[in-house]
Amino acid sequence: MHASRGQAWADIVTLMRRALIRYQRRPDVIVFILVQPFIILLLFRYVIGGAIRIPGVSYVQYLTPAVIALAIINASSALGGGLTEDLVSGTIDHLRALPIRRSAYLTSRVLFDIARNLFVIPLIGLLGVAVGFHLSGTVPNIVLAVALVLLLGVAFAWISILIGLWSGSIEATQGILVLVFILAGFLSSGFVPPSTMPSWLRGIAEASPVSHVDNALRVLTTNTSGPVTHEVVAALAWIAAILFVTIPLSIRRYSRHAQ
Amino acid sequence: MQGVECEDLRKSYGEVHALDGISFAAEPGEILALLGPNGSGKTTTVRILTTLTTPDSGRARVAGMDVVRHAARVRATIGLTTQETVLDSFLTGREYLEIIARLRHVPRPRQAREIAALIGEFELDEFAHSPIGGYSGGMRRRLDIASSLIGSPAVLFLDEPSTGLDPHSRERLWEAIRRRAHEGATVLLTTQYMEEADALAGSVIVLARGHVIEHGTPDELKDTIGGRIVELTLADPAQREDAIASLPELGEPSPAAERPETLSFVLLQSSQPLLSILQRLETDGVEVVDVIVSRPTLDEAFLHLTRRADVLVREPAATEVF
Repeated sequence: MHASRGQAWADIVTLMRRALIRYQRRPDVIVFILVQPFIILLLFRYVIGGAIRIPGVSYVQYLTPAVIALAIINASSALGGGLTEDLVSGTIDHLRALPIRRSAYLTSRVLFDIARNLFVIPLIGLLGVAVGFHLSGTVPNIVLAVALVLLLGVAFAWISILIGLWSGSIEATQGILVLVFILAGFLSSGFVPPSTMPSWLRGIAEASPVSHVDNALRVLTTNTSGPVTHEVVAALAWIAAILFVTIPLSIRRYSRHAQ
Repeated sequence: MQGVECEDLRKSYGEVHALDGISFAAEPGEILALLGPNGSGKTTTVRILTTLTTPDSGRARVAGMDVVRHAARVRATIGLTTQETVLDSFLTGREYLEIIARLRHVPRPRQAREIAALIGEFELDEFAHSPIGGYSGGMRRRLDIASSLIGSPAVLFLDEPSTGLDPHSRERLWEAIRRRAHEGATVLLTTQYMEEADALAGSVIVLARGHVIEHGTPDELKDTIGGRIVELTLADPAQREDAIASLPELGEPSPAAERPETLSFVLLQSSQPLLSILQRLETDGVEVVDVIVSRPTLDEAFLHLTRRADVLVREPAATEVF
């Protein structure tokens, strides 16, 4: 007998409360999540950016939306390490013996990440504005942009969960997730246009879901014209495909761990 | 039947038969202890009964419900304490109990009352508002056990509950367990401490290599080895091998005696009288200066049973059991 729908939500809220207390007691976690993208933004704006010329747009305009997307991908990589920790420590066994749905714990983690990202996005955006980014999108477009980044975060959260549940050690999880973070972030249109890359790499970078999100964000936040509908649709299709694969595999792995 | 029931449970991990046909039952109000060396199948049995893993074959029921088909309903009736006591270090003890009470769906008005009672029962008052990260091992253990009792589960599974507890806390834990059984809960505990099984359990199951090799009350287990242990002290430790050689039917002496001049044997019902043993030693020129005859402890019964089943590798078992 599964708990009722209302009870299932109450369980998720209880588990989110646990995550919230964790953040309250360990402020260093949120600092770490913010500091990394801050440094990347400053490095590319002031150290590397001077040597990059992109036709028709100043580099800070090109860069800032990509750093926001990168920050969210980076933040979701904390999730995988936490899950491996919970597996190794036996916390997940504890939870699996409780009368809650098998999806409750993973769902609570993802929902909590979305709530946290709602704070992270404006903070990175503000820093972007401080270093010269000009935000000029209409309100509906900015809302759409934020929603798109949040959905990208959900997709990467589930990737992070899946890696965290399959990996045998926290070190392995973190190693893999740093790779995912670097490849997903930089093998895209985020920092330089793919047209400057060798042709074999260009195809990969152009097809990346991160590129579609980055391209859409640039148009939506700066009120410039561009093929935005195509980019949004492509990004959503990617995100749906990632969720379609990672959610069932993660819940299956969570339910049957260590049989 | 309510309580716990399993029939011919089997579970293999690759080539290893963790459980090779386990059957037993425990009624409400009963405390059942699972004894066995590491790798004997105790934890696998608990994992199957608490729905954390599924058996390859066989059936198990907890509170009358099949653990595979009605896993979700089983989870609503059980409390579990596992061996690894890793709790959320950033939560306070009280917050942890509150979260578990909510996830166990204890009605709101009852939550505060139950938590306060458990904090008192396990003497956690002083630390209830401190983060678990600062707790000692024993305090974590007590908190973990307290959390498994929230909502008065009908069936309790305690995997080595007293590991890491000081004697006072262990007494309190034993009282708490007896109280739950007295109130009608079925308690299944695994333990390495025979003393614990002796003090708590109405019945004991000895597991070895995935088999039940003995099932009875602690007294019955002691009786199965004939009721007597004889310890001989030799005048000259150098005669140890001579003494063993002149008593071939008694087999190897128990490893329990550590000093070279003492030899400890289990006397089976069928063994010859003590007097003839002593006479034979005298004939063979082995000088005995002291003889102690005692009723075996449950430790000795356990060692004897598992050795008899030819399943105990002596070295690791000796360190695990004591």
